[in-house]
Amino acid sequence: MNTADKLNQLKAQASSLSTACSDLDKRIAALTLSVDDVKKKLADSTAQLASVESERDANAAQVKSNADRIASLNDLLSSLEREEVSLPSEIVRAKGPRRGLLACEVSEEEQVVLLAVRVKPVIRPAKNYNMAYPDAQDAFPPIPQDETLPGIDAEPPVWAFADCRHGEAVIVDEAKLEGLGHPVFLVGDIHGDESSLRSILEKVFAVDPNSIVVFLGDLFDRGPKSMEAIRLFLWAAKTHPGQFLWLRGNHDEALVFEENTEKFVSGVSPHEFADWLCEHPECKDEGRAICTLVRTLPSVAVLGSVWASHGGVLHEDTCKDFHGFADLTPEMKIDFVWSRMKDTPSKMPNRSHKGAEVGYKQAVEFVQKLKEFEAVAIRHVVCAHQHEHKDGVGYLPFAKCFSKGALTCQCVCSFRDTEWDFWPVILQWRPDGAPRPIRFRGN
Amino acid sequence: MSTIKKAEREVDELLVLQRQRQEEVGRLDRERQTVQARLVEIESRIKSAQSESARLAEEVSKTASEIEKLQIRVKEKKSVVTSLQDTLEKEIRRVQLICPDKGENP
Repeated sequence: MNTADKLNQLKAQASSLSTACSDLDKRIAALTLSVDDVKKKLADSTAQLASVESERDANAAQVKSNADRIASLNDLLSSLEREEVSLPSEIVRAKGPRRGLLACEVSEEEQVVLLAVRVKPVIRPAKNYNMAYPDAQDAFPPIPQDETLPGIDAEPPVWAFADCRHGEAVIVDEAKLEGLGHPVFLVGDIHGDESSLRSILEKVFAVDPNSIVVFLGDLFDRGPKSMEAIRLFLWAAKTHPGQFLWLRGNHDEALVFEENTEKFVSGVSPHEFADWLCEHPECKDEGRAICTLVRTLPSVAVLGSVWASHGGVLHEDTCKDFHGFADLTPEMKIDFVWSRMKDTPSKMPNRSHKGAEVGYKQAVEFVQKLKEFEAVAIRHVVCAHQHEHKDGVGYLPFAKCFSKGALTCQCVCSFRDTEWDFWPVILQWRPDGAPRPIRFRGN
Repeated sequence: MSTIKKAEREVDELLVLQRQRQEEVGRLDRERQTVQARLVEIESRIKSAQSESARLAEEVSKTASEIEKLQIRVKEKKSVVTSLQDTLEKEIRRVQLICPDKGENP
């Protein structure tokens, strides 16, 4: 091939390549347009998807909210239906004087709250209050006599609801209590009445050998046998692990062993037990063990909707700073043990003394706080401490202060006070309603 | 000779250009297919979400109607309970009048 031919061939190839490149450029332009178009559609579709998904999620949330609302309304309706059935019988009961009454209040928030108004405590025949006492010997191991009761050491028993302890408080939910399958009793001030304690133990374990007993403190002072009462109580608690709980009372808390003088002293009056311990040096170790043990006790038990403490609830000056049991001030701990629930509180807290009085208004405020910070709804307050037994039954219902509210308040005491001439009273927890008082009339 | 070499270089350059264009076409084609597939998937999700949303909207409407009925029943029950409570309170006051010293605060 000569040079001219080769040149022509190369020119023809170059021309063909130029045409091919030009075609490819056109195709690239077309493809770019197409890709841009699909990308735009994709962006539109993505936005549409977000909008549709958002609408779907909103509908799903609304469905859930409606379902919750339906459940809440159904609960409310059930409560109202129960009240509709129960109220007529209460009205019939109310027609006679000296009868217990039970009323119902419907709040603005559609919460149904029960209100117990005991116009006059029912004085029923003794047999109604003496629990069945069938085979106590089988149900409960024989209780040692006073002289053979084991001594006290600082090793604490396995307390009931130990897994529910939150600092100062033991919080047990309603479902757990109902699921126990055994009765739960609340016992107020024993105050050295070892004989009453013995009767109470015999009887609650005759009802059910697995009964759970919550003591609201003040095991010693006032009565004749303080040391025997504590020995008996701790014997029962150690031989029945997980069935006893001891909440700190003011007399329990006040007992101190002074290391420098080697004497027992108490910051409360009367304080016979501290004096007795000083007069009985052979019991010094037991006394010191009691002091150690008491300082490990909780002061509050929340049993479903029941608040139980020796004193009462917080006063308004401490209540405003309450943010749950995890963060209690010393004043709050004092209130739980030392305050007194009163129909008409007159002793306001000035914090120079410990025994402030708490009324209905403060109790309601505190219950609201508990609901907010501990998610527990309290309907019944049980306390001990003040044993003001004007009618000889050892049961103070606080009728006046709680007659317009959503709370019941019961004060329980279990020592046989010869001055007032009354018999011990204990309470039995129940899932719906205020704890049931059980009065002892002797064997 | 130099004219031929120049023509050969021009052909080589055009060959390079052609290869580059072909690669670009391939890339754009693949991109279009990917975006297209994504578009199909998104459209399918839109249809599914629309269908679910419509079902939920129907449920919302149904439950709202149920709530309305329950609220009416609750209102009726409240009225009955309030009336009973009033009666009970009257009885309490009556009892307190009978036993003024003990009835109110034993």
